[in-house]
Amino acid sequence: MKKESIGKRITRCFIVILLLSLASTGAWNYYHTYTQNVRESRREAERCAEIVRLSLDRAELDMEALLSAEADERYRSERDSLRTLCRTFDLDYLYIYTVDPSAGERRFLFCVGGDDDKDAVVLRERYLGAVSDEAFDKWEQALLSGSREMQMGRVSTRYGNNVTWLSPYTDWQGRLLAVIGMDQSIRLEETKVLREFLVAVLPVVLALTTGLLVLLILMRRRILRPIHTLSERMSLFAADSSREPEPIGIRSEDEIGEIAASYEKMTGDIRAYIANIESLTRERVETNVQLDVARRIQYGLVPEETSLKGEGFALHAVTRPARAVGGDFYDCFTGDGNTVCAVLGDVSGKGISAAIFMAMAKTVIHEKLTSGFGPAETLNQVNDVFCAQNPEGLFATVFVLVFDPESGRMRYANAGHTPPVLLGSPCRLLRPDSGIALGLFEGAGIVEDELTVQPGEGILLYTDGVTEAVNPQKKFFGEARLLEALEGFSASSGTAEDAVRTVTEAVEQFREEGEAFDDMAVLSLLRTGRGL
Amino acid sequence: MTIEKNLCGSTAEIKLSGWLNTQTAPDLGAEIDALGAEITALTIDCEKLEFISSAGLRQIVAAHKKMNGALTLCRVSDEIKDVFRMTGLDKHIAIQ
Repeated sequence: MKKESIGKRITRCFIVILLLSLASTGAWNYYHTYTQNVRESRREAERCAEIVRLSLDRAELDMEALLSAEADERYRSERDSLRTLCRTFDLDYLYIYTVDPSAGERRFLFCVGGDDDKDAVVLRERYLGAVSDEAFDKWEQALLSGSREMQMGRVSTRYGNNVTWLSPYTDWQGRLLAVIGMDQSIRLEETKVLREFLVAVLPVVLALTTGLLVLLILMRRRILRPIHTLSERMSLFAADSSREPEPIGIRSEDEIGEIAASYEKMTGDIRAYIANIESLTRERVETNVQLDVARRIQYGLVPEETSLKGEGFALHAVTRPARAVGGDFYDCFTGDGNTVCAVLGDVSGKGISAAIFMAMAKTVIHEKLTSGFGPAETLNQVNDVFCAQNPEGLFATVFVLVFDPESGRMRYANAGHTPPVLLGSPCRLLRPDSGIALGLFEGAGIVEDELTVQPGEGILLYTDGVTEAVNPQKKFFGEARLLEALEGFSASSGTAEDAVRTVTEAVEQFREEGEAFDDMAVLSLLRTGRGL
Repeated sequence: MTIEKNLCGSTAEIKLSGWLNTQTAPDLGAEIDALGAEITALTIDCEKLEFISSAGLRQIVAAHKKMNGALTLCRVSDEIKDVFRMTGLDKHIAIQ
C-alpha cells in the first residue's frame, strides 16, 4: 500500500466534508427558498384574483350578455383596470374565460398582457369572445370537477414558460362562472430563487471554509508536525538504537507532550537495557569460554571413564559432573612393587573454583603416593598444604586406598569421605575412622586402617552424589538403597565395570527426571583370581 | 531455604530451615559476612534444616573461623549429624 501522511488524509477528509456540507446546505436552502417563493407567489396570486373577483362582482357583468355585447367603452375601461392590476402584480398575462365542458371550449372575456407588446398580441388573438378548443389541462379539470382551490400549473405555451395560477370565479351558489388565469414567467421566478439562495449560502460557505482552514492549520502545528517529528525519531531509533538520540523539543502540556516525554524515557530505558544485555552477554560468553577451558582441563585430568587391569586386580571408575565442571575426582595407578593406588574425592562447591581446587588436590595426592607415602601420611601432608594456601576456604573429602593384589591387603585412610562398600557376600559398608575433610583444620590426625580381601571380593568407593541423589519426591537415595542395588552383584562373577554400572544405573533410575544436584563419581576395585 | 537472624549483644543466633546446598549456601555466607566485629559468638539453630551439602559445610566452617571457634550448632537432626561425623567436622565444631 502506498504510504500517505495523516496530514494529507485529513486535508482530503476536510475537503470532502466541505463539499458535502455545501451540497446539503445548498439543497436545503434551495428547497426552502423555492417553497417560500411559491408560497409568496400564491399569496400574491390569491390577492390578485380576489381583486379581480371583487371588480367583477361590482361591475355585475353578465357573462352571456357580455359575450354578445360589442366591446364598448365600459368594457375598455374594465380592461384597462385589469392591465393596471396585471402590471402591479408583476404578471405576464391576466385573463378571464368561461368554460363549456360539454363543448370542450373556452371563451375569453378578458385577456391582458403586462407590457404593450404582449398586450397587443393578446388583444388581437384573445379578444372578447375568442374561442379556444385546446383540451382542458389537469388544473382546469380540477376546477371543473368542483374544486374551488386556486390551482398552480407549470406550463409551456407559445407565450413562454409560465407558472400559471388558475382561480375560480363562482356565483353565490358556488357554480363556476369563469376562470381567472394569471401567468408569471418562470425565468423571473427562478432568478429570484437563485439570488436568494446565493445570499443565504455564501456566508455559510465562507464561514465553513475559514473554520476548516483554521482548524487544519492548528492541527498541523499542534498535532501533525509533532507526530511527524516523533515518527521520524522513532524510525531513526529503530534503525540504530546505539546513537545518542537528540532531544525532541516538544514541551506541550497535552497528550502529544506526554507521548514525547514517554518516548524520551523509553528510548533512554531501552538504551540502558540494551547496554545491560550486551554486557551480560559478553560476560556470559566469557564465562562459557572459561567453563569450556576448565572442562577440557578437567577431562584431561579426570576422564569420564577409566579402566585399569593388572595381575590379580581390576579397577573401573566413572565420574558424572552435574554441571559443566564438577568437583568430584578419582585417580588410579599402579605404584611401587605392583601395588594399585585408588583415590576418590569430592571438593566442596561446584564450578571453576572447585575444579581448580580438585586439580590441585589430585596432583598433590598423586605426587605424595608415588613418592612412597602411605595413605594416612599422604592425606595428613596434603591437608597441611591446603590449610597453608586456601583463600577460598574450600575443602575436599578424600578416600585413599593402596592395594596389594598379591596378598589382598588393602591399606586405606579416610579424610571425611563417605564410607566405602565392601563387595563380598554379602556387601556391607566399611566404617573406617571418618577423619576430617582436607583444608579445614591444621593437624588433621588422619589414621590408617587395613583389610585383607579374598579373590572375588572387592571394594566400591563413591561420592555423596550417590547417596544424596534426590528423586522428585525429595527422598534421598541413601546407603540402604546403595546396598540393596549391589545385592544382586557378585564380585566373583561380575566385573569391576558391572559393579560401577549397577550403582550409576540404580541412581539414575531413582532420580527419574529430576536434575542432578551433585556430581557423582564411583570407583570399584576387585581382587581377581590369579591368571584372570 | 529461609534464614532468620537474631542479634543479642555480642551473640547472634541464626535459624536455618530447608536445604542448605550450592544454590542457597551463598545466602548464608552473606549473612555471616554481614555480622559485625562486636559479634563474638554465634549459634546456628538447625532444627528445621533438612539437608546440608559440601557448599553448606564450607559456610559453617567459615563461620567457625570467623567466630574463632565460638560457633555452636544446636538442635541438629541425626541425618545432619551424620554428615558432620562423616566429614570429621564434629571433632572441631560444637554440635548439640
